[in-house]
Amino acid sequence: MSLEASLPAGDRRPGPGARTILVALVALAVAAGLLWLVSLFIGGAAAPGPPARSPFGVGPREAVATGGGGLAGWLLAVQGDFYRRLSGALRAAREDGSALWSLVLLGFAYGAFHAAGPGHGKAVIAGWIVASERALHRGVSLAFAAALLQALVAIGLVLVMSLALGATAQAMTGAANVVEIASFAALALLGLALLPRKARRLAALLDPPSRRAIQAGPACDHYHGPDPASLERQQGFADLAGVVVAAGARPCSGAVILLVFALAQGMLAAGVAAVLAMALGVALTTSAVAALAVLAKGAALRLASGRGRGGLLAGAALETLAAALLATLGAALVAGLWSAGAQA
Amino acid sequence: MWRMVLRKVAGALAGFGALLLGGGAALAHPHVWVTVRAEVVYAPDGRVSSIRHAWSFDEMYSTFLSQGLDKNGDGKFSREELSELAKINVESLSDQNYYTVAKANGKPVAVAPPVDYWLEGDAKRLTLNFTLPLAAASAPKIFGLEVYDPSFFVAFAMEEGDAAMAVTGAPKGCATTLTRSKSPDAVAAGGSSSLSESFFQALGAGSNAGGQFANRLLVACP
Repeated sequence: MSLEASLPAGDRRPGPGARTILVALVALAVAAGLLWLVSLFIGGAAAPGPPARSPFGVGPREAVATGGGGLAGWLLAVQGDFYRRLSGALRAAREDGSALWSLVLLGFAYGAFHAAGPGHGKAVIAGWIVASERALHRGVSLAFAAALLQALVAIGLVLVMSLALGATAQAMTGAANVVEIASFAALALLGLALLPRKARRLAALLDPPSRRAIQAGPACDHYHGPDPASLERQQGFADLAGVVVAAGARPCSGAVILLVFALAQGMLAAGVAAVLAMALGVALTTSAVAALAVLAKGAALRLASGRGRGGLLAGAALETLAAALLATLGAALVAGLWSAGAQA
Repeated sequence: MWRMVLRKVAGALAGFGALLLGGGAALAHPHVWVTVRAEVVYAPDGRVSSIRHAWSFDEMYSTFLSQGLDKNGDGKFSREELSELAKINVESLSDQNYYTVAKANGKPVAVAPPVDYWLEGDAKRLTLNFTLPLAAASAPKIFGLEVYDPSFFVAFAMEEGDAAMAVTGAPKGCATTLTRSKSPDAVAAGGSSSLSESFFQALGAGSNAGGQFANRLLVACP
């Protein structure tokens, strides 16, 4: 006791690195707790649901809505209807070229409604915006890039697996699962890459100002290595690529099945057109979610801005938590896939 | 202690991931349309011995399932070419309890894994045949059979005509009643309004929403 008291007060505090790690760990624990609470809430009213694998064992898995009130039910009904009509429109387009337009329109509508349902892509983009982004145009471009990537992955998967390799549904499902787990891992990595940066800022803010003034000596101006601005640009590009991969790489099962069908009908080009139209519809809906996230974050920051250090702290804490949520969500998805695979 | 905590956390995360991937009271829009034919088979002593299913997939899913399986390139699918796929199909269906609810005098009866299964047909219409043995203790006065997917991922409809759900070897004097869910083609032809309306009502009615779209056969014996 006396020994501790004789030490200078500051020395008993953890160093800046340790504090960052501590903040990051706390954020991860809070994020895991939040996800767990959500799962309790959703799982509480659980009825037997669809499988983590396709019920017939082949075909990409489908993300599913949980709960399902009136609105969710209506969305499902509309999607099912559009999806069912796509095959008919594809056949009609073979006989009559002008039916191609209705096929493209149907694809677009299906995409817009389908994206309004469940899916981790919107959560990824919204989470990223809360963690790192303020600009609406950036959120919208991310939404479009992710949707385009999703369409291209489906098209690439079917072209390579079906056309080039003559693969079976089983092999195609296996390939889709690999892409899926890679996209979830990318999400976890994105969150883990973002977290230390956000945590460092929060840790620095948590540090009393007097102490910071002492630490930030003239030595800090002495910086070797790449020019910070270009480093930040590179970092920013890697982050954005990570967001697009995490949100969009997982192919949509409806698109894959439609493309295989189109190929068998000798209507590959029409199928590709329908899938690209789907991507446009998905991008539109996801953009709306991105815009909401931008607005919500802007409002939160404005609310916090007039409150000095407390406001800054709240903003930094929000960003840190969002980064931790991305990491935890990615880890949860990978773990869920893994445990589903272990059961299979 | 730490290891236990870590294991708990990992378990909770895995659970959450599985939930996101498709657990909970989960719903999806139909991706597969199945036309059902089912046969309830009675043993000579009046017990229900098995259910014979013949499920035909819609054209889009049939095409997807059968791709790359015409190994000898004769333009047809033999049972051998489809045998591996049939095995995967029935083994995966066990997770869903084969979408089959069998009830003897109102009490659920467990179904055993399929004993005899095969796929037949072509890329337009692939049909999965399988027989589910039942472990019924006694001859039921009322036997009920329902086929449905509570999550809507698979839309089940009974085949047109009387053969849709048949009864074989039932004791004398048994009467059968058949209740059909809306056929998916009728729904598609009828436009989205009829579908969304009934869908809406069914979903509002509670957790067993898919049950309202069940295809139901009741056999009542004296």
